[in-house]
Amino acid sequence: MSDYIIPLIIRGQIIEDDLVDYSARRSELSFRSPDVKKYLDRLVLKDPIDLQDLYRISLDEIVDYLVELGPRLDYRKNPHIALALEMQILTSHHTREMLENSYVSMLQALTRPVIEERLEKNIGRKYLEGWVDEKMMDRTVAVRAFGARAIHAIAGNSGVIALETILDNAVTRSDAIIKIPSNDPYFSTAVARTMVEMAPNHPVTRHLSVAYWKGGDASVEKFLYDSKNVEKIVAWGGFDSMRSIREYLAPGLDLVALDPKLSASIIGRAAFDTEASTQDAAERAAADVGYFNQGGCLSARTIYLESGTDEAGVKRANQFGKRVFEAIQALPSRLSSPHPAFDPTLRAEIDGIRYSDAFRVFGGKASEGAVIVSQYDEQVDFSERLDCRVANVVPVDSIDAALHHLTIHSQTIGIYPDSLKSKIRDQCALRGGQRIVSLGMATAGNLSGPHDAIEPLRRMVRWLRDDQLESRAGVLHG
Amino acid sequence: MSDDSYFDQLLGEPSRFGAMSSEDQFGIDPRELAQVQLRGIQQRFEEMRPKVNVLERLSEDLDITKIERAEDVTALCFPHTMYKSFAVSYIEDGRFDRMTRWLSTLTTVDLSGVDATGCDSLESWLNLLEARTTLRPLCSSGTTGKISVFPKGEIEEMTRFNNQLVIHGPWPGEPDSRLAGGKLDFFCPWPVSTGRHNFPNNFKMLRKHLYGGDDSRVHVLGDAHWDIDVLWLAGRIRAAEAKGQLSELRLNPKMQALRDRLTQQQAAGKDNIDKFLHELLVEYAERPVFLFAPFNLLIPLAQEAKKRGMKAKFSPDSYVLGGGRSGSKGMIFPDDWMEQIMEIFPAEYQQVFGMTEMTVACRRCTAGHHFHLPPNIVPFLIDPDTSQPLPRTGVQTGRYAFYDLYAQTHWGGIITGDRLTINFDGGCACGRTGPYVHEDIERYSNLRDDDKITCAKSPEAYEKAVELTLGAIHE
Repeated sequence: MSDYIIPLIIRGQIIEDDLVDYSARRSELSFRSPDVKKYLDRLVLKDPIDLQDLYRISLDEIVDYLVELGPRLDYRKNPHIALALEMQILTSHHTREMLENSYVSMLQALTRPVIEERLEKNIGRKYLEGWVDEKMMDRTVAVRAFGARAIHAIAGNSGVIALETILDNAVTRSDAIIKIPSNDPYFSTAVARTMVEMAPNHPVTRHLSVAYWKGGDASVEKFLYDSKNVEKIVAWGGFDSMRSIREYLAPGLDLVALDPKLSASIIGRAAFDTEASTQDAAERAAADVGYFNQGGCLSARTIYLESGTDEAGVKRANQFGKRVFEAIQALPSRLSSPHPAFDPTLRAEIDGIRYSDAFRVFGGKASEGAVIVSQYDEQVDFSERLDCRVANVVPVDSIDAALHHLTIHSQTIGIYPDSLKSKIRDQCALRGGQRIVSLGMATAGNLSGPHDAIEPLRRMVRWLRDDQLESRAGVLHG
Repeated sequence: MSDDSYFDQLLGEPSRFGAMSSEDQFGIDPRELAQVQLRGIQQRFEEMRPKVNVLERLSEDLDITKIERAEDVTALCFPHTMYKSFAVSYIEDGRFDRMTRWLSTLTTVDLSGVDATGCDSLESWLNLLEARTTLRPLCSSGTTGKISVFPKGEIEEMTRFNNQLVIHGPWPGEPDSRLAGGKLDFFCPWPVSTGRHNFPNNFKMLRKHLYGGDDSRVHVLGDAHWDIDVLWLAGRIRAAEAKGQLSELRLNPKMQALRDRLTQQQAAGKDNIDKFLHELLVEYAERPVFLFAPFNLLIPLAQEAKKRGMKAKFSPDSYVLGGGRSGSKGMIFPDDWMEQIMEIFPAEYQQVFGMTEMTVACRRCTAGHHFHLPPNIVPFLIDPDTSQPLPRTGVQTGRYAFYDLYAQTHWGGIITGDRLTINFDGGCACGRTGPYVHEDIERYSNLRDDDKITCAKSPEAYEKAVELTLGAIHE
């Protein structure tokens, strides 16, 4: 147990008073943070007109600010970020080596080409910079994307989520209150502190607040989740937290929901064409399962394999499962490792099927991960608990049988071979999938986003229009 | 009783041993008991290893041929999940021969003569097993919606029944239910009267062995019968719903019929509540009763009684057995649940700790509010991360594993999903000897940090009331 203090940051002010204790239920980390209840009035931006300081500067100046911030977030030089990394080691599913690697690589998000691509491809830079005339049949409509006052209840499985939230808040000229999750309790705060040190009076610094309260605490959320105080809630993950947020929704308050998802792989029979293709498919499948220790929604958990379900097919599936397991063990240590906190409930599930004829288990003795090969076309009953580099290979007779398993909760679908992708992508989409990639590329996110079908940047803004009519000839006049 | 005869009875005649008074059971010197328990585990391992295929394979894999210390057995304890490790398709494709083969690897009972090829449902398969063998499987639905089939036999069933009468019997300073004499009627607000679930199974035992076949002495909510096929269907629907796969679930005509029957039974729900409340609160107002009402059942019942302006006046020699905690069966209790209950059902609530896998329940004592483990249960705690046994001294917290010496038709070693705190030194103020369990029992699967947000979907608990899900199935 450690005794960390996580300050409350309100628009450039660092507050360390009125501390209360918080501890995770499994006691990985305890920390103290100011009692947000005492600061609610200050935490919200009461008058939305106070966003106007952000409109006195150009988008170029905002981008310059972010590009300058990037290199200052190097954990090797910045003690706040170093502390965030230390705390995340205690709460995350990554080793130090993996975290250090990701803390360096995610800073790419704050380089100029990435930011510019993000602006251009996600929303259109010009709409963020000013009014854009759009010619229509009977009028000219000037359109502009305006910022909003928003609460961001972010996920903590990767620091990049916090980084992109801060970036998007700046470029949309919005006012963000970040609600930090207990599994990444300090990174957002560390970035905000760095911003205060870098440019204490800059409008971008003055429109970011970072706070911790226990998710679901009605005494805080009832006040904050109110259209008087914010226009948008951007919320990630957790079924329970999503449900509780939805209770507060009322007209005037918009929810951008990044609902919790799970991902899968679909591997066609072409994987068995040659020894080389089988090995290639197994290594790609292993990457989708094992990179970042299967901690994200885009990590593959169930692998549908068109091996056939007769005796020969199941034998092929078993051999393939063994290869995937071995390939997981061979993943580079900067991207994957035996899980530092293997889920004991998952372990009991794996131990429970180890001697069953219905399943074949490779690995899973300690924390090295496992591949469970179903001996029939059915997932393990605990498929939603697959994590910690544990995958379930399900043999199927046809790709159609695999597609049948996709639902609205599916996120990324990694497909092998590539030629299969264009054939089935419409069906994947109609069944609920959000992102289709070549097998092995599930975790290769591009920092310019969007990473799935949500398009958060476009939805974080309020789209305004200014109609200019030549005459009173509008079609809808009453 | 000499150590030897104590040992012989504990292992050889569990149902008789289990019927001994609490004073006899809990009176033994803990050091002597530890010796008896070690010998017991050693003997059971020798006896069962050749008969229980999975035990044989596990001990071979771990290269364990002998139990030297009691805690050696923790490596050989089966995870509770093992009893649901069959493939769903065995059942849905009607391959009950495969179910038989699967179950045969987990029991000492020889199933080679059981021909299940004619079975067309889980219920018919279980009926066949019971007709041809001494197995009396207990079924329950778990957190993933899959049914587990626990191969208890006649011996364990009888032992379990006797234990129930004993633990609610006399102990100095504690209420005596006097259930054993058969004088009190048994009340339980459970919506199912007969069937495979452990509650109706217990009702069956009470009707048969305590009330001489008089069905009217056991009062429940209506007369619904849930065979295992109903439980199976309910679990499948819940799991499919939570995974967003309802459209995948195809109901065959048999399941369709089950669903219709369930709908009818639910329609009778209100009348059943009226009748139950009338019997308990009006007809039996002045008479002693045994009320078994886990809080997740009692809270809604209290609300129903309040709506009707009814209140309990239990006679002073009634015995009220509550239990359960918020969230453990999928129901989150309201903040003021205790006040709600005490307003309508004021009583001194007794509690037990038990599970399908144990042949006994452990009563919570009045003096220390601890659950006391009967001598057939050898308790262990293991580190949830490393699976290594924790020292069996002092107060420890960990994943609960146990060896149940009464078990003869199945291997007695089980690793549960529960986090327990056990005082291994014993010495509870109530006077019972041996280790005892603290009240704060939690499932590890419920112990997640709910403020830990990731973008990945996490498993939901499927143990919701069945009525919440039935409407979601389209014909």
